[in-house]
Amino acid sequence: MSSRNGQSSGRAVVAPAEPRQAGVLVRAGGLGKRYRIYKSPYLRLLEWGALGRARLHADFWALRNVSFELHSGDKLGVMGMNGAGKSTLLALVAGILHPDEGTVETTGRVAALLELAAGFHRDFTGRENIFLAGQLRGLTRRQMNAYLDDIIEFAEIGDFIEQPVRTYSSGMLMRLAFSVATTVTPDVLIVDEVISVGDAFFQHKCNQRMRELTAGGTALIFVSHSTDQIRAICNRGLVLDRGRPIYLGSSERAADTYLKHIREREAARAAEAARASLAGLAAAAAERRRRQGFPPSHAFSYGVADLAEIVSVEVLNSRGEAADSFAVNEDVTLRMEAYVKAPVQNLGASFLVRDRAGVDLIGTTSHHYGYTVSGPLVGQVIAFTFTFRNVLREGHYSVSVAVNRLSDAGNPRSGLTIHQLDNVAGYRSSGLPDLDVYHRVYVPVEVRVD
Amino acid sequence: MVGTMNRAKVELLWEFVKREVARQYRGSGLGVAWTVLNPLFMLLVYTVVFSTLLGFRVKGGAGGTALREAINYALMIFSGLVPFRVLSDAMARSTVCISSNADLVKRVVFPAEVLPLSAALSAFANGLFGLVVLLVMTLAAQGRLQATWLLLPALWVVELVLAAAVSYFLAGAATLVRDIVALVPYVTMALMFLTPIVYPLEALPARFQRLEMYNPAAIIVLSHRNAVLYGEQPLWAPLGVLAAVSIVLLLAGRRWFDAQKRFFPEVL
Repeated sequence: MSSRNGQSSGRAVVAPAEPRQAGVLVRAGGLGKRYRIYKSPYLRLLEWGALGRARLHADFWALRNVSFELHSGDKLGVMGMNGAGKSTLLALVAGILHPDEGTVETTGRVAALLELAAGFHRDFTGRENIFLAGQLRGLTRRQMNAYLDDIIEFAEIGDFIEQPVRTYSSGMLMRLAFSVATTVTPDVLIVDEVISVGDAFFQHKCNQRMRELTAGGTALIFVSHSTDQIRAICNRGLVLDRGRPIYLGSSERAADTYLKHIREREAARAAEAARASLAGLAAAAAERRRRQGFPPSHAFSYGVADLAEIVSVEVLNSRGEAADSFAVNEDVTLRMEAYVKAPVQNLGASFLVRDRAGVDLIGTTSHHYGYTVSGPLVGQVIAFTFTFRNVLREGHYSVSVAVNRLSDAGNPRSGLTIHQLDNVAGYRSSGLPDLDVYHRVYVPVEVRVD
Repeated sequence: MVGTMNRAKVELLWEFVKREVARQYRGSGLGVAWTVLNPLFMLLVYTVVFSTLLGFRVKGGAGGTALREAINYALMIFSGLVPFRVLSDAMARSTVCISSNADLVKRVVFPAEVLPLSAALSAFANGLFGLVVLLVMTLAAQGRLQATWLLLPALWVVELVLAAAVSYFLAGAATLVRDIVALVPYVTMALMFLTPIVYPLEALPARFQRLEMYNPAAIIVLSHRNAVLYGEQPLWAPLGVLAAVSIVLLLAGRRWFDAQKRFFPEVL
């Protein structure tokens, strides 16, 4: 077993090819990684000069108190939000980083796929890079020759194998890197999210290769944001939050825990945003729109946003949960919040649902229903909610929203736009399960034949 | 070379040396010729300044014409510059050998100790090109081979060991404290003028001549010059001490480097 711990400066050992290892292949005990944060690089020098008599840094634990054991054939899925310590954990197990606390031990050959094309030399051909990768991992050209054909075949690079890798697409790089890492059978395989680069077909192939390896006894550590992928591949799961483990157990339970964790964090963030100041609110709104997955280039806003500004748009189902898919006849609820920046008269909101061709299909304004807001509401957030029945046939639809005011109090058609966001949200209509909808909308039709 | 060196490591080292040497001439029209042209330009400048303009005279040959004097002076400089540049080149390369391979160091577990070694070896390889040019020029100027040329391999081995030792220390130190990268060119420039390269040892006052026996670069430069130009013996006593010290430094440097390398992924 190669062992690294907080005290010794033990080196990661790449074991020579040997019979497959059995038993415990990875053992982490109280694993922790600390980074020293200096306010200025000079403080680091000063601290050196002080020979331990002065402490001029702050400690940041990127990972702490992580313990687990992986037996032969175990498949551990690691989940966590950005900055949770996933990559640090992988680098520690791979032996690239060394723990500042606790220990991590691995048995046998460790193969790590931490970053796309790591270790590839851009100007070398694919074939040369295969040999280079082998040499980096302690295998001679002659030893690597035995694997060459298998590696090239699995990677499906074709004649490009004789071209410099700088000419490769990211998918090709990933295929080659994955093929190199997994063809020389590892005892411990560490895979970061890199394989999400490939197309669906190759992802299946990767999943298949990982299943074969683990069936043969390889222990797998796999990081993914996709809980589905974790459920499909892994039998065990670890959830990290800001460097600390919050769940270790079955991959099913871990995936559930992770999803719940995300929702809680989002809710906490939303509550935080609600308390925030104007600037904070606007920034949080932009962040939320971004997280909802609307590329800013598709959202277009105009209007005089100095009176009020839309800070959030959500599409909800009848249970009040965020949703993006609705069957025909299901109720769609559109909830938008506007932040009021100046005293307003007759403030209202409107929405519009469009199909992909840009045809306006459904929409109305709150003024039509007699809802307007007036008063010195500066600093307040007003929520407008529209609920309508989805009557649209199968397809993708975008939602545009606006806040506006009436220039002429009596006339709901005399609106002035204050802030409008085009195509800021959307949903998918899944149609009707047992009836084809041939035209744009479906409304129940009574048919009689006499 | 030091510690365990299995076949894959040797192959890897060879790849890095090839890459280093190839990298420096890629895209330049004259390619490898720069290995030779670069020191020749320096040589020309120093010769014009010290011999032609300032009128310094050195031993060797039958004196006489100004051209003859200039050639003698140029050979004196070149015979010292070639071995000195192996040291200065190794210093410059080793300071960046880790940071220029940051992608590798941060993402792949591999024997990082081949990097400083490849810095020293590529400096050494460039030095050998220079040596060939030097020997051809000496032969052309003197019209005969010197028996003491047979001693050169021993000298160059000592030089390689010293360069490798320095490379291990500098590679580790410069990665952890980046300021060293900026500092090294000044150190090598100072060392170059403190070493009798562009002037003969005899130009120094006697007490400084004695001090030069503690300057590793001077020991190598003077020994090299003796063997290449004058058919004289290297400075065996100081050279022997230097060889022993270099071996100890190389072992210590490798140990120190191995102890430091765990911090590299964190500071890059």
